[in-house]
Amino acid sequence: LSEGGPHWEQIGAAKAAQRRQAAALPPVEKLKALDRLRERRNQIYRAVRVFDEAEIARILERRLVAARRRELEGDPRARLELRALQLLQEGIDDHGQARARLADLSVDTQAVSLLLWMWFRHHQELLRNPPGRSRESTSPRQPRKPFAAEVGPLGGRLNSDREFWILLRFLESRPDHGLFPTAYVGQGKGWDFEMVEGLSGARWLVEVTEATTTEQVEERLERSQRQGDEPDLTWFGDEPERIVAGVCAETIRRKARQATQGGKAESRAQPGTRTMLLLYPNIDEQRVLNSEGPWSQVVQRIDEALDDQVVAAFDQLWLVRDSSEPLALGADLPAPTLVRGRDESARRAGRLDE
Amino acid sequence: VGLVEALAEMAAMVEAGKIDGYAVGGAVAAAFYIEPAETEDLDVFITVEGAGLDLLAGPYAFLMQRGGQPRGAHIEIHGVPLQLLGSDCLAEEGVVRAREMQLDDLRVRVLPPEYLAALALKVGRSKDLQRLRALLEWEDFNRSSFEDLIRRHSLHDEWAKFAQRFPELLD
Repeated sequence: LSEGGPHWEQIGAAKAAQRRQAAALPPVEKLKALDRLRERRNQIYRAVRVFDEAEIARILERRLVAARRRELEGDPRARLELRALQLLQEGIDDHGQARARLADLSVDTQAVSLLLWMWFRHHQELLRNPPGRSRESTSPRQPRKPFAAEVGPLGGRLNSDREFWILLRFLESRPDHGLFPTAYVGQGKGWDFEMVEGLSGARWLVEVTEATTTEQVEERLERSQRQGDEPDLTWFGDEPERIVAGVCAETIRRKARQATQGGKAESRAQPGTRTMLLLYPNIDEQRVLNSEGPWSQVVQRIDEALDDQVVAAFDQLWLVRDSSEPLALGADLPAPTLVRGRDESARRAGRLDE
Repeated sequence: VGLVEALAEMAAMVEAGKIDGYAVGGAVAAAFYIEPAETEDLDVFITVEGAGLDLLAGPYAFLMQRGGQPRGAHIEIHGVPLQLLGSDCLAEEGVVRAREMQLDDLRVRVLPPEYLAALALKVGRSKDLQRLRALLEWEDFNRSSFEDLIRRHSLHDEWAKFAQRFPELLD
């Protein structure tokens, strides 16, 4: 048994006890709790409103001042944020112009600055026209910290912020990629991002997706425990890794199906188009996984669970981890973990076609 | 303002003769039995004898006189979006068999848990199925009464689909 690993029986029992305790409260107390939750939701709805241009300019100015201060303090990302904010302040709305203005930067920092500019431009639009203001439509959507690239923990953030954050992590940690983000496609409109490969000019379509959550993994563990499908199974050892890998593999299969159907399939049909899936496990690693190097096991198990047809749905497939905590830019940043994609399968088979 | 005050309006409505019977449904009703789960509105099934298509007209007018404000399909009263629902066969039976629950000085009629579960199964949205799961796991839940409702109200297909998704709840 690995020390410090989660004790799933205890977690399951604690949750069940919590549910029983909540269920046993007097009804008046429970209704008051529902009143408090409703009021909290109302506050969120009230906070989402249309910002006018003067307000947006003031927020932008404050962010610029903060970025300048952080740059003086030696924060390596601050300079890139500063450049992105300046593009926004100058009202540049064209990708070509933006890239030309960043021409003095190295290829990798240019890619990151461009992505930040796209991210902040998306925030600006959300401030001008926040979706989901009416209760009849979706949940209210507006960035909590407009023009800020700090996302973490991921829970409670806008999906778009998570997508930008994960792609940012990928671009930062793979400075040799030579990819420039060109467009944020947005939710429900096919792929999440478009990128262009600097040297070859190849068009990349990128899908960023949450592979699993702590709650999903815990629920699966509890269900597996109740079913007793593996009666000899202990709740230590590699069980959490097996479950995490299983949920990740399911997500990849689902995404592979989607990637080859409907609008997504049409988008990728254009010649010279390549596809990438960035998968992020939105889990509390300390809580879910054993502490001693579990990710190699997770990756291996995901790899084993995927058949070639699923893998072939994407040219590259990456697992971007450590996404539940904000990470500093720099040498300490762990590289995303390559799972397998068509490129990697071909490399393994010794027949890389490039 | 809150749910207790909004529920008091239902008792006042019965007293005023605007409705014949009612029973609280949805997440608020479930909170009387199991762990409460966040909800935006209060669903109440009503019965009005002899009412036609304008079943809700009288109750809504009553609530408007008492400070209610129309909000889409709801009337907001005491800060709570209240939705009055006409009753189909299943809900009507639930209204008749509603349990009387005590909230301080107020007596409130609440759908029995088995009817809540059957209605959740019938509606079948994700949040309804979550509620159904929680009710099925509740130790005081009467499984045979629930199975009787499935049989009598022809919910076999919905139950089969649910059972396929959550086989562990069949034991």
